[in-house]
Amino acid sequence: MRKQNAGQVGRRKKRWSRDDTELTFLALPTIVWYLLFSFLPMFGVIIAFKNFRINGNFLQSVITSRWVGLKNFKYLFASKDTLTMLRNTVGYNVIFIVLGTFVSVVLAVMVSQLYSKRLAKAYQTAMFMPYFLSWVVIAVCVWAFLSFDKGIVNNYLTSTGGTAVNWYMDKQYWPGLLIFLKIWKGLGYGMVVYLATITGFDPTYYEAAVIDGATKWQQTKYITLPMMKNVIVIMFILSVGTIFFSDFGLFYQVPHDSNSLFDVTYTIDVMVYKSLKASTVGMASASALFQSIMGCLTVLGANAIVKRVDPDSAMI
Amino acid sequence: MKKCRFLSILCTAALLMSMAVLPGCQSNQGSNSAAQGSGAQKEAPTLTWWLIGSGTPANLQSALAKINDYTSKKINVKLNIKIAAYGDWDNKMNQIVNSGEKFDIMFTNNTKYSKQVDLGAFADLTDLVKSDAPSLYKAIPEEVWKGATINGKIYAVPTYKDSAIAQYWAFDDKYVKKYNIDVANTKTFDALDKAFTKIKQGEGKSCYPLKLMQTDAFLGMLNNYDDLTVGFQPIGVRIDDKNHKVVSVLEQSDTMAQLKMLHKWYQQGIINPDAPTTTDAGKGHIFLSAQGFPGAEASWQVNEGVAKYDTVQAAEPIYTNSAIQGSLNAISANSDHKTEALKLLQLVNTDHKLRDMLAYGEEGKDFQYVKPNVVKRLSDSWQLGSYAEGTFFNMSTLSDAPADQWDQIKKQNAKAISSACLGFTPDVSKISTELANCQAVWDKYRFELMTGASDPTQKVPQIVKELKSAGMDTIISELQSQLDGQLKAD
Amino acid sequence: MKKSAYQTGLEKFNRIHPATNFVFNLVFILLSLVCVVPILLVLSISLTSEQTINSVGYQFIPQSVSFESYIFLWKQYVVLFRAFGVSIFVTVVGTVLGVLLTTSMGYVLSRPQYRLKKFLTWVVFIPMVFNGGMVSSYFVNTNFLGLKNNIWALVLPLMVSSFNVIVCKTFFQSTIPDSIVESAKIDGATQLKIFFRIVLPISLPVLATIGLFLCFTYWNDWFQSMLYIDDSKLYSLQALLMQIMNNVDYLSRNAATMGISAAQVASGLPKEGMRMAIAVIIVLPIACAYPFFQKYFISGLTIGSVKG
Repeated sequence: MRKQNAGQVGRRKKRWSRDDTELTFLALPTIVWYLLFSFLPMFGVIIAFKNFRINGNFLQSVITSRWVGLKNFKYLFASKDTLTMLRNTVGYNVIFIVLGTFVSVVLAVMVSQLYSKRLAKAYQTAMFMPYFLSWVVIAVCVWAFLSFDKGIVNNYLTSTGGTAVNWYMDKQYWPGLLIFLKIWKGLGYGMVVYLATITGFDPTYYEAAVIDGATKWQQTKYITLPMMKNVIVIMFILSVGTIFFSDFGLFYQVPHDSNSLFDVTYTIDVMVYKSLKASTVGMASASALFQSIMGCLTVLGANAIVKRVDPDSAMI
Repeated sequence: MKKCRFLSILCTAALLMSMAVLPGCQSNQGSNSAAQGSGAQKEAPTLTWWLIGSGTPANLQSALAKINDYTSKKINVKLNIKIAAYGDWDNKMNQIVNSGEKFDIMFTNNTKYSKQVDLGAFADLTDLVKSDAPSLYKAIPEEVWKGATINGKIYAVPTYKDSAIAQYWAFDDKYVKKYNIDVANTKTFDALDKAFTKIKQGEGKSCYPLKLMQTDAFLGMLNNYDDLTVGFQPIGVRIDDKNHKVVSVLEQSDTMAQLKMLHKWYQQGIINPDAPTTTDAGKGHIFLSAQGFPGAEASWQVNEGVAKYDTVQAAEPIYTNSAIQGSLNAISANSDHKTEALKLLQLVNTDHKLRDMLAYGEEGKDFQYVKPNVVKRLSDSWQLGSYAEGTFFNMSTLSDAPADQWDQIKKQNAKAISSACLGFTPDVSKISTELANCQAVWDKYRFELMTGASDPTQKVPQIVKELKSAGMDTIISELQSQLDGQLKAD
Repeated sequence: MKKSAYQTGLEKFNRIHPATNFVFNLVFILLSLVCVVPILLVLSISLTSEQTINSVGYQFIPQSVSFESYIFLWKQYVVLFRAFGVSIFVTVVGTVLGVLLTTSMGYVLSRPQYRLKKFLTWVVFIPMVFNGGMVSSYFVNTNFLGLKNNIWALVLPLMVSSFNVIVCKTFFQSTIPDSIVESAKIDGATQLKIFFRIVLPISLPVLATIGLFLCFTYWNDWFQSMLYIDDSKLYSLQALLMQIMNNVDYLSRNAATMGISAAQVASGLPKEGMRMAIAVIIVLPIACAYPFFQKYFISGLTIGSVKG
């Protein structure tokens, strides 16, 4: 009845088995969802290549609009600040991904080792709090600290005899501040996935290790981390896919769009937002498509590299 | 039992999803209930009208019923009002227009009007309004119609209100008396300089006579230059230039003088140091620059918490396209009832009773008449933007506002001078890339320049250089050729 | 439940050094403080009157506690409660359905022998990077799926995220040993049965994680309401509060041009304080729901499913 042998990963052409039917049936609702909500609207990407004009309903408008090739993409690259924008977008994201992953993994391992589970829960809940706040609220908090005449920091400085600093017009502090804010906001959230992974581990591995006389550090190095490898790599690949997207709230709302901070806060999403007033539907679509293509390439690239090193961990 | 559990879960999921999908299979068109072919409309068609406001009032349906009673008797038309909240309006209207969703009338303004016309979203009303709504055409002055014209055609009914910009400067009376400021003669930046310096010397370090904020900065500073509805401040035409020369605004001598003065004030502490970054205006301004009319200071006083403001009209009122396009009502190119929609707009702008119902809500519940032309508000729930619906001049005044408020505005409008470029709205589709890039460059510098934080003698050349490499010259020449082509033909 | 935090005697034997534990605790206390202090600031600002903020500035402990922001919001309790109900419905239904759809797909993708595995992986991957745009989705959802002014517009479009599916898939790949599945197949179980009766019960951490992420997505969403709902009765709580905040913003900026009564209303409105009060109201319910999920990925709950 069953035509396959369990555990074989050969390149032999497999016959369609009953298993496959059952699995397909199981995945069917989700497949339908993807069809209706992701693939059906996808025809909209061609707007990036057209001069969009209204002509009847949306479908008719899209079909009858004139093709303009790559014209809508020009504005992304014509500006002298494109390099700054790319450097900021990619640069910040690289730091976020590397630092964020490192901090989340380390903290997750640490939390799982605490004596008191109750304390562990308390810490984790506390570290999750920043995630609940939107960037707009965080922007107000930062303003509450750094506002020139009403801020907590300047009030403290002046009351102890120092001079007030015009924080929002001095760019040297901001890269560090922005990185801190991003990591801070994602602290608890990032930990969840890794914590859930650690929690799901089979304790017999650890029991066997202890019997063999392994120390805690050895257990972490040889059991915990390798077993988390898959998840860490996948999360890494997924984050890499967003390397051309930036957090609009962080780079636009928190710094109050200050001119002095331009060099360190100008990222691709800020640029797109600012040009919205002067741009057309086609141009907006073009920038989204650009980000999508770049994201796709980076994910596939990262995936290919991972596949070379460790095929099991790859996403695709 | 176990199989049942799984099956039941799957069935529920499938059921829920199909519940969502099936109704849609009938291609829900939504609004237009009377789209059944042409011919005698014994039944009144229902028009969908998108307006702006704080939100949907709780009694919208009952108020609408009363309105529809009135309109179906007068012009055989029914209304279905949809309201977009202030914060959502920009995004939501984009969705509606771009997705081709059906509607009949839509409120729009200068930030969107020309782009929407460019997209082909609105119907051409030029001939229709003269033939089918002649009293509407007469009710609105020629200049105001001109301001709503794009490429010689009218695509929306402009709202005739305080359509001419009149810039007023106001001083807190307390300081006027303390430092003997001659408000009536303070109409230039130099005069302001004297006044501000006096106040600053007297009040000391933590007092900022000119408190500015990031956006807007010194409101009205560039009023002498018509931005041609492009909304890009560094490019404009002097309102009194009969030759319509498109110039680089920042480099003009009067602009430079103003910028230098602002910088001087910033350095002297007359302007607050965080002006380029603060988004909250705060209250209790010693000095205000705002658009208004005689008597407007009453509401400024309440808003700022200041006992009395002494005001002076800083410049003559001006009609520009941007100002007139502050409120327009357009008819969809896809609408099946263009004539009926025009007739409705005509009724709104000429009929007193309908206008009041739209502005104030349900009579007896939201408002009541104190005099034939004065109403008193009874409840807070009807919060539609009345400036968006139609003209002010057939509307009753509120009981706590000056009774002659509308007359004052009308008088002010009558004195207005028209910008030399009135009637010209450019087609920016050929220069959209340059505009987007120039806007990005301008955004890099504009807050600090316009609040005086940067030194204009250094910054302006730098800005202009970057703008030129972003394509400013292309924009200027394109606008100039369109201007020459259109206005010479007049 | 057990009183002791340890399930087997072995765990007590296999602990980190007490000094290490102490250091860890210190680190976490510090981090927790850094995370909690801004929340306290938010709370404090929400309890400060607009006047105090304008005159004295921001402080951790307000000079004079004022409930004006909360009172202003409370006055609209009818609409707020209704929006609250909408949000609860959307969140619960959306999370349940979303977890079902996400985990089933994740499981299917994790089966190494599955014939359509590669194809479906692409089906899941592509929407993660490409999408047709807001207008396109809006058009499809309103014209073909009838979701205009429909509460399902708040639920359906957000149900599945490829990120969640891939996380799920990875979990199942690394924590579900093939032997379980194979032994169940030998016993004659169908994949469906295996999924629901064997795999899910031992995957509580995954369910809790995905459930948590979905819960947050739904609770925080205001965009769907803004786009698809014309009738404010169907607005979610977050959307309604956003609207209130935006209106206050708009009113305070334009009151002077809208007349005296508008100016009077505007001058009495709390602004900064209210923004913070809204943040507190949004956060409170979800912060209360959080521990419910947390116990599944902190408690060290593992089921010895592979033993013997």
